[in-house]
Amino acid sequence: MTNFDEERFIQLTRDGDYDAFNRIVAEYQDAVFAVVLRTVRNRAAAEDITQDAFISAFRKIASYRGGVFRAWLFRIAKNASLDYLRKMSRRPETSIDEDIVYFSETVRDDSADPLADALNAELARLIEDCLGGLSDDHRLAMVMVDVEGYQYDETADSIGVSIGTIKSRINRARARMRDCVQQQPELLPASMRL
Amino acid sequence: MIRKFLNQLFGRTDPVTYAINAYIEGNASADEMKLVEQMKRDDPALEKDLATQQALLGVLGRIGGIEAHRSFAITPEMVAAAESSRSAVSKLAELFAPQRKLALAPMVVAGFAALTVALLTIGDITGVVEQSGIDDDSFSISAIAAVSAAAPEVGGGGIAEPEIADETAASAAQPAAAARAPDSGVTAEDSGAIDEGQDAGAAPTQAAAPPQELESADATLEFGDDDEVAKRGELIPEDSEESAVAAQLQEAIEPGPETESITSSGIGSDTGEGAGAGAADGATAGAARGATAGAGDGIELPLWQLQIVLAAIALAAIGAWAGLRRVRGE
Repeated sequence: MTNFDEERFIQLTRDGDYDAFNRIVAEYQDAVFAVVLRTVRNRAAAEDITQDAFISAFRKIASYRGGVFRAWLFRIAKNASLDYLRKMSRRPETSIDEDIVYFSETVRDDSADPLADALNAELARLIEDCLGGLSDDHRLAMVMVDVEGYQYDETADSIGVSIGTIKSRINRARARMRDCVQQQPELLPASMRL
Repeated sequence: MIRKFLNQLFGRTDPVTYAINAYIEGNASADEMKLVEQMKRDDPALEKDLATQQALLGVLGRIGGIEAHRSFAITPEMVAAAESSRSAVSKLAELFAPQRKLALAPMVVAGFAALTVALLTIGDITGVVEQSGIDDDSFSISAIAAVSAAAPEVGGGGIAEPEIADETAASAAQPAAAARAPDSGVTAEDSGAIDEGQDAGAAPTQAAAPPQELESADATLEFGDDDEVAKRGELIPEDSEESAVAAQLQEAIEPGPETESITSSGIGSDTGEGAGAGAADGATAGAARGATAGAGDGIELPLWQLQIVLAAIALAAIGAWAGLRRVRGE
């Protein structure tokens, strides 16, 4: 992070400075997009939601009252994502499954073994499938904490629930993920096989 | 179970959940380690289970990051387009958007307003709540017209046309002519009209004039003949006893707006098949209620105004709630 004075950019944004806000966008767009994509599991929709979230953040910047700015951004994006999922769930003619974009990224492995890479790709897909099988709330919590590595407090602030609720959701989500990945034990590392 | 429910209700997490999470993440405190070790001793399968979850967490942490393939920088045009695309409903919805827990606020408002309307209505029916005073001048003219029109209409056909209640203003222009109708025979129906008027507005009856005056008037109307009724219509007292009583009635009904309210109520009762038709129409209804409140013992409130406003609030809140759901795609 070089020369990123968030407070100053926020203040400039309050004054209507688009360039300052776009510095903020550049800083956080990957993080926001990643959480949105893993929540809605549709790349086109995730792009629209992320764009709308930033536009909404710019318009609502006056309502930002301090705290972790990234969490505030995540909250806007999270609300938009959950709204999208609700909307989709009420339109049975549009199947989310058909729109799933499997993530190109694989589980990172330092080995240069092609077979290991292939297995890792399969494992990544399995994990993404299992993530998709979680409830929206559990998936969002797990994506933020276990995948993206945010702290409990920031995740709680972003989602708008207590830390205890986040811990509870994480606990249940991990248990369900464990049960899910165990259904394809051949893809799992030895340490994950029961 | 109860403890778990309460913990969930108040956002607290079971200590076991805390301990397991911390253990899996590798940052358990001494107490948490002790608790987990104890659990592992009690349930040998738990150790493997926790090891699996630790490995899973490691894999999740190694999933490659996602990079956006495009920039999400915004432009003034984008913001302007977003502003212009917002409907009135979405603007309303946005008021509640940051606080999703307030999404049901419109329904709460609607429920409260509807409940208040219901309570006011019940209070009105039971007499606990009464209509407070309203501008008497606004209906005095129509009430006078109603007094004048009462005799010929009732005498001519028993039950008068419902339009009387609505057209009292027009009748006001020719009260004398109406009152001089030659065939305005006074029958028991006349008496009934006034009696019903008294029933509909018992309080104003007392407020406007001594009861005995009206009773006398009733007697006169009951036993009078056509000529006497014609004289009563002209409001010219004669030497006869009946005419004297008619003069009393004239005195009783002329001076104040309260009396006019009574008369208006009486017409409303006699016309349009009862009090509903007359009393429900605009000023006549307001007059009856206003007069009723004048002498009542209940709480005085601008009742029908409140009911209308609250009903409008309830409808608006329901509309806002529905719009909110639509905007959110719920």
